[in-house]
Amino acid sequence: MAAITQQTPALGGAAVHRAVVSHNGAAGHHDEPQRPAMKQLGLWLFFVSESFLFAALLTARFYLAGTGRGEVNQLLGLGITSILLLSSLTAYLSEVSIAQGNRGAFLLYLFLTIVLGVAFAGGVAFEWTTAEFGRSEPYGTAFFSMTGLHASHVVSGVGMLGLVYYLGMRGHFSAKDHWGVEAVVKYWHFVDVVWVFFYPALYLIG
Amino acid sequence: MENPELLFGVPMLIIGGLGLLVAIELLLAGEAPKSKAETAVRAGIMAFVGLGAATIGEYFLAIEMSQPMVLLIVIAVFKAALIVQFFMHVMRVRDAHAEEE
Repeated sequence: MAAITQQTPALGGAAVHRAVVSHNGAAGHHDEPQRPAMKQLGLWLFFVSESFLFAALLTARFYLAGTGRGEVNQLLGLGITSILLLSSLTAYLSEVSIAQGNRGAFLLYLFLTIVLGVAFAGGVAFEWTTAEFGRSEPYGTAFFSMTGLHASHVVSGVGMLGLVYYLGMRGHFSAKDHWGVEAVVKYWHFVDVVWVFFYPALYLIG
Repeated sequence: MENPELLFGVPMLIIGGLGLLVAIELLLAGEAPKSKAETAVRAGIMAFVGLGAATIGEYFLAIEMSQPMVLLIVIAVFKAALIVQFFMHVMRVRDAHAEEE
């Protein structure tokens, strides 16, 4: 270890030196230097790449079915949209709470977000089972593809929120160190943004 | 133009949306906040109220109008902007870069 530490200036940087020393610090766990800008940028680049995927599906919906629409349950659509928007608020409040060191509120809001996420996925599943159009119809193809891909993101988001909840219960995250919470909550908001465009495209236009 | 209401509706929605964004910013800046957390919570709740109002608006717009596509797109963009600005804090990317430099 000492050899590595001595060599680092020659390797070209105080940053490398700091990383090695910090990584093997007295705390005995991974105490890597914080690079908020790189983490933020990486996450947003991921969102941009995901956006292309969803944009392609959105385009395909109008290419396949024009501005026509199948018979969908409007109240259910409005209901699950409201649930997802509400879950964004609870996710946001969860992040604000841990940023203030309020673990109780953080866990409570996170739990509510998970429940709302499951409710949204359940609503989509119900819509699938009661849909009056087939998968082979142009609108049906678009509907099942778009809601299916989006729901898979919701389910993976719920999984990640669950992991953060589990870690939070075990004492992970603090007011100073909660990047894991921030990243997962941002991902959840991104899933919400996608639905903001999918909802009118699938339920309202036509 | 097939839908003359769009001629007035779209600019009104854009102006209204921008007005709401400005109103939120002014309200947040207006009073001396008791704490950073309180300001953050208030911003989140106000953004949620804006999202809810826009969602109800687009729902009734779709029921009442025959071709509301343009208006619905405008509302969707406005809602996405609310989430990206107030929930996702997109500006923190720039701030974090400035801090590191």
